[in-house]
Order: sequence, then C-alpha cells, then structure tokens
Amino acid sequence: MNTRKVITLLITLLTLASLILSGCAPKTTPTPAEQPTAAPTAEPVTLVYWSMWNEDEPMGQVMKAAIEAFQAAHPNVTVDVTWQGRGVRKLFTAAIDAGTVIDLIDNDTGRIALSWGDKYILGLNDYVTQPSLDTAGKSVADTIFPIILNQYITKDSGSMASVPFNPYVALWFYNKAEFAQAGIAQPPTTFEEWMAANETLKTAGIDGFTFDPDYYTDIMLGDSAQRYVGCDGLMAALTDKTGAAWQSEGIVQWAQDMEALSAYALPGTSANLYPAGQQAFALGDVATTYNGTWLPSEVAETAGPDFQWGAFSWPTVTGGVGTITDYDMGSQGMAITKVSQHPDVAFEFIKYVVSVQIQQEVVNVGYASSLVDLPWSGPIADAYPLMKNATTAFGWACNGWDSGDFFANDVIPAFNDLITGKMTADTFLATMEEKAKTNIP
Amino acid sequence: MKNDKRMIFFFLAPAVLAYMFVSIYPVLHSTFLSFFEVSSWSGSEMKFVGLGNFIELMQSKVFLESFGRIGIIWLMGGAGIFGSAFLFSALLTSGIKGKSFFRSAIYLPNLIPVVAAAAMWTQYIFNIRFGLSKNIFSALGLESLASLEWTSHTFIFWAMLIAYIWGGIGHFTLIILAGVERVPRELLESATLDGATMLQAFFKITLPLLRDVIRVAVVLWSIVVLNLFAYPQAFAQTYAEVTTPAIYLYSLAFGQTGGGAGATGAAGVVYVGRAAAAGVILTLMAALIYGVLNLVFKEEKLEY
Repeated sequence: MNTRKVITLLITLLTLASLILSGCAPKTTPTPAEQPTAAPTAEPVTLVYWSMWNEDEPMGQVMKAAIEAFQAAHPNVTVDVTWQGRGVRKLFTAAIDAGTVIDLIDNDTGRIALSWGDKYILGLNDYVTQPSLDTAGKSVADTIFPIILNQYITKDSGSMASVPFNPYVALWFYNKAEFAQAGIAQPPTTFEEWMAANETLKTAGIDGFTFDPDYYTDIMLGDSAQRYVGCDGLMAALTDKTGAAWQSEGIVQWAQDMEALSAYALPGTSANLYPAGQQAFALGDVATTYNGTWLPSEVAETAGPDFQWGAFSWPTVTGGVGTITDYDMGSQGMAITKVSQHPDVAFEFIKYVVSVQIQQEVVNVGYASSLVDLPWSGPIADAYPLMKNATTAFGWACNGWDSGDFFANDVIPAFNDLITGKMTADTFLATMEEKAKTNIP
Repeated sequence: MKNDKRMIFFFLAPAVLAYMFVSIYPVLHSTFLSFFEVSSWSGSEMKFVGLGNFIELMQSKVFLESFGRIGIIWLMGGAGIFGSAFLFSALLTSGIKGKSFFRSAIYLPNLIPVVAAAAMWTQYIFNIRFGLSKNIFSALGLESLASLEWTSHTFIFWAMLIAYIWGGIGHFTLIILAGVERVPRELLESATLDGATMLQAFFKITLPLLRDVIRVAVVLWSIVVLNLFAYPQAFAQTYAEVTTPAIYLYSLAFGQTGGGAGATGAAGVVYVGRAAAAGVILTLMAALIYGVLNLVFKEEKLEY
C-alpha cells in the first residue's frame, strides 16, 4: 500500500508539474524552420517609428499599408508606430536628448539633414546602394529623383540623411476651365506672357490670383525673387547692412514687376488667413494660386472631382538669373536615428516605403511619389513632367529664413503689402533699404 | 491628546513636497537655466553666460515690442472686459427675467475652445467676402468698415483683441457678479431713498465695497494677459503683429513657428536658456504687478 501511495503521489506531482510548466511556455513557438527565409534576422525585433502623419489622413494610411506589408514579410519584426503628426518636428530632438529610443523618423529632408544632422541621424550613404525592393537591377538610390535625393547632405560628415518618399514642388496651380473660358491655350512661361494672360482673364471677368499670406508670403517672395536675382542675390539683399542692395537693378525690377502683378490679385487677398485663399481658388473664385503639390489633396472636398487642375512653373524674366526649370522643392524623407539598435532592419523598412508597391499607393491617394518612373495622377498629373524636367532645386522660400529676423519681421510683412497691392514698389524698396540699416545685426 | 505641533508638519509634508516638486522646482530650474546658453533640450551642452540671455532679450526688438503689445491688450482689453462685466453685472442684478439664462449665455464663449473660436472669428465673422462684420456694416451703410480687411496683417491685432475681449467677458462677469450680489440691498435702498441716483449709488457704494473683488480680478487679468498664448497662436501664428512674450518664448524654446513646411535654418535652432530667461522676466513682472496692485488696493477687511 505504501508503495502504491508513493507512486500515486509521484504521478500526481508529475502531472501537476507538466501542466504548470506547459502553461508557462509560449503557446506557439515557431521553430526556426517555420520562419520565412526573407527575414534579415531571426531574433524578435521592434522598430520604434515616430510618424509625422496622423493615422487617419491619406499618407497615414499609406504608411500603415507599408507597415503591414513589411511585417507580413518579416514576422519577427514589429513596427511600433506612434502617429505624432506634424508636431513631431518639435518633439523629436527633445525626446532623443531625454533618452527615448526611436529607430525611424520621417520629416522634411532639409530639416533632417541640416537641423538634426549627424548628431541625431544615421548617414545612409552605404545603405542606399542596396538593391531596391521591387525594381529589378536598380539600387534604392537609382529609383529616386536624383534632384531630391541629393538636395541635402549633413553639414559635418556630408552624409545622405534620409530617403525621400513624398516630394513637393511649389507651383502656380490654375483652373483649366477658366483659362479655356478666357481663351488662353497655354499657361505662361515668361513674365510678359503672364501679364498678358492676367489681362485676358480680367477682360473675361476672372480675377488673376490669390494665396494665403499668413502661410505662403515667404515662398511667394523667395520664389519670385529667385527668377530675378537668384537665391544668392536675395540673400545678399537680406544680409546687406548698408541697405544698398535694395536699390540694385535686379531687386528694383523684381519689386516693380510684383507691383504690376498685384493689380490682378483677387480683392481681399491680403485678408486671407489659411485656408481662405486656397478655398477661394478651389471654389472657382480666382484663376490661379501659388502653392505646393500638397494643395489638391487639402482642397479636394471643396474643388470636387470635376475641377480641372493645371500647373505651371513661376514664369521667368528677361535677363533674370533663375530659369523655368528651377523649383522651390523638397520632400518628406524617412531617416534612421543615431540611437537605433537595428539600423539594418530599419533600412529594410525604408525599402518598403519607397517600393513601387507602396509608392503606387502614395500616387493613388493623390500625393507625389519620389520614384522617377512613377507618374503622378489626378490633379497633380501636370506637375509630374515639371518635376521630371527640373534642373535645380532650391530650399523653402529661397532659404530666406536662414537670414534671420529681418526677413521674418520686416521683409515678409512689407512684401505681403507689395504683392497684394497695398504698397508701391518704391515704398517697398525705400522701406527695406531703411530698415536694413537698423534691423540687420 | 497632547497638542504636538510637529505632527502638523508631518501631515502637511506630502502635499508640500508634491507642490514643491511640480511648482517650485520648475521655477528654480528655469531660473538656473536662464544664466546658461543651452542649445538642446537635454541640457547636455551648457555654457555659462551670466546675464547674457537677459541682455540679448532686452536688445531684441521683437521681445520688447511684444511687451508693448500686451500692454495695449491689458489696457484696452481690460477696459472692454471690465466695462462689459460691470454692465452685465448691473443688468443681471437689476431683477430682469431669465437671469440664469443670460448668465449662462454671457459665460458661453468661455466654453468654446480657443481654436474653434478663432476659426469662427477669422474664417467667418471677419471674412472679407461673406463675413458677418461685412454684412452688418454694409447693412448699416458703413462701407469703409464693411471693406476693412480685419484679417490682414495690418489689422489682425485689433481683430484678435476684439475676439479676446469677447472670450474673456464671461469669466470676469461671473467674478464681478458674485461681488455685486454680496452688496447688501438695504444699503442701496436707503441711498435711493436719500435721493442718490443709480450712478451715485454705484460709484459711492457698490464700487468701494467691491474693492477686494476688483483687486483679485485685476491680478487675474494681468496674469492672463502676461501669459497670453492661445489666441494669437490660433488667430495667425505666423504673423509677427500678434507676437506676445509667451509666443516669443515658445518660438525660442521650440524653434520658429514661421517658415512653413520645409523651412530649415532658423527654424531648427532652439534657445532654451534664453527662453528660460524670458520666463523669468515674465514671472518677475507678474510678481511686480501683484505688488503694485496690493499697494494700490490696500487690503482692508470690510465687513458688511
């Protein structure tokens, strides 16, 4: 009996132990053989991605699709995404400084390379030469618009800091139906053609242009000045403590032309606060507006599916420095942080973001793709050939913001008045000359 | 039980320590930072500059102008808000029907989020093409006012001030109203019997008895104006014409708000130390205003 008791006890204990231990074990532990061979590593990896998008907006949905496609192919990798929205640009460096581990960050390529640079961002020169995900025989770098890919490098090491996935170009958007109604066959390419077109529109009872001064006076200013004196010429004026540059030939001609152009502004343009101006354009109240390739998706609901979108480059001027293929452009890019423990896996994810499969999604939601051979569709279809033929890319507002407070506090408000017909060219130039003497440190 | 005063300390300690941690510590740390040049949020790169940040701020045209701006808001906005608050308090205590409805209606603007209120004012009321102000002034035949571009950078400050007064009236009406309601009826009645007019009764009886309430309200108003941030930010965040000290502080700490999607350069540079110095200046100004107001309205215990 004693022996039977001992055996019963042992069996009970074993059964209990096996139950307890099996309960502790993971329910489904895949054996290495079950895992897909494409995985760059068999270890479970989590990539932390701080996104500049909101989950519900079109690009957020595209990023979600990229994450799903990537995770399906790499079951051992989890992309832990936080939809930070645009505010991420103010949080990112503070978060890294405070010790937050972030692997992937997306933002403006200029900001990533110049503002964050080598201190926060991993150089990608050795990565972009890897084969692209789904374009046979081409590296990642080969598939992307070179003008965008090479626009910014970090200051210290001269590295490529991000992979562009959603470029933008600042352009004049026009309402093709209104141009046709006025009898204008082609969008203007020179200042003379432009003024003639504005006059023709006026005769047809259509106002020429509008914009949102609180958001876009800076690019109106920088991108127009670029045609006359180039970004270097503008910077020279913005930093000339004597103020003499404001009486130089190119600057004077620029101001006079802008005064002439202001005659065709939609009345009340200076009172527009974003998005009033672009809404006026989408409602058909005005023939053109200066904006970026993100515009059509912002006003899609107002414009409706029948709106006939067209786009043209800022017209050039005889004797001017800028050419018709110079553009204020940039891109959103995906970068890997310096603190990432899994840069190779993170780059694998970036390959998905710039794959044909995902970039097609970008095009489908009406945004611009960074792939050279993937035409844009819908309202920005006209902008694709302009982008493809671009020869020079310059930064936001011809880099005017780099010059400091004089640009922000004196030149922008005065130009706002000039381009909306509240100030003459002579007053503008005299005011700038005067303020340059006292307000440029 | 023996009255042990040390126990008071032990019972209060958790609250006092928590308060010191969340309130006093940031003040002390900001003050500490204000003497350094700090170019990142971790404070890993700090350079002692003494009063350098304060000197830079005192030489900054933008910062000084921003104080002039809140000075105008304090004075003109204050006149608008307190004038309206007294008027509404007088009306609400005059025995009108539907008092609680009107009181709620006057307070209503405070319940609307600033961002929504700003959108309503800028995109609808002040809209140059179809706005309420245009329609009203046109109907009245005041064409010059109907065509005024309220939301252009030239007039945006005044447009914001009007909206700000609208947003602040409810709050201060409630404070003043509570004071007015405490003034004993019989004092006013006996004054009326003695032949005092309504204005005389207001200036000789109500106003003196409200002194403490007014002092508190003015202190609150001053602090609110010193820290004014949400209205200018929601109204026209890129326009220099509405920059307040708090907005300037924010742009120093987190980079320029202007510059659109792709602006680099100035947009990426942060001046944490200088922002802290601006914060210290704002704190000192608040303390100064409090001191001055305490001198102006000497505290007296009035019993009635």
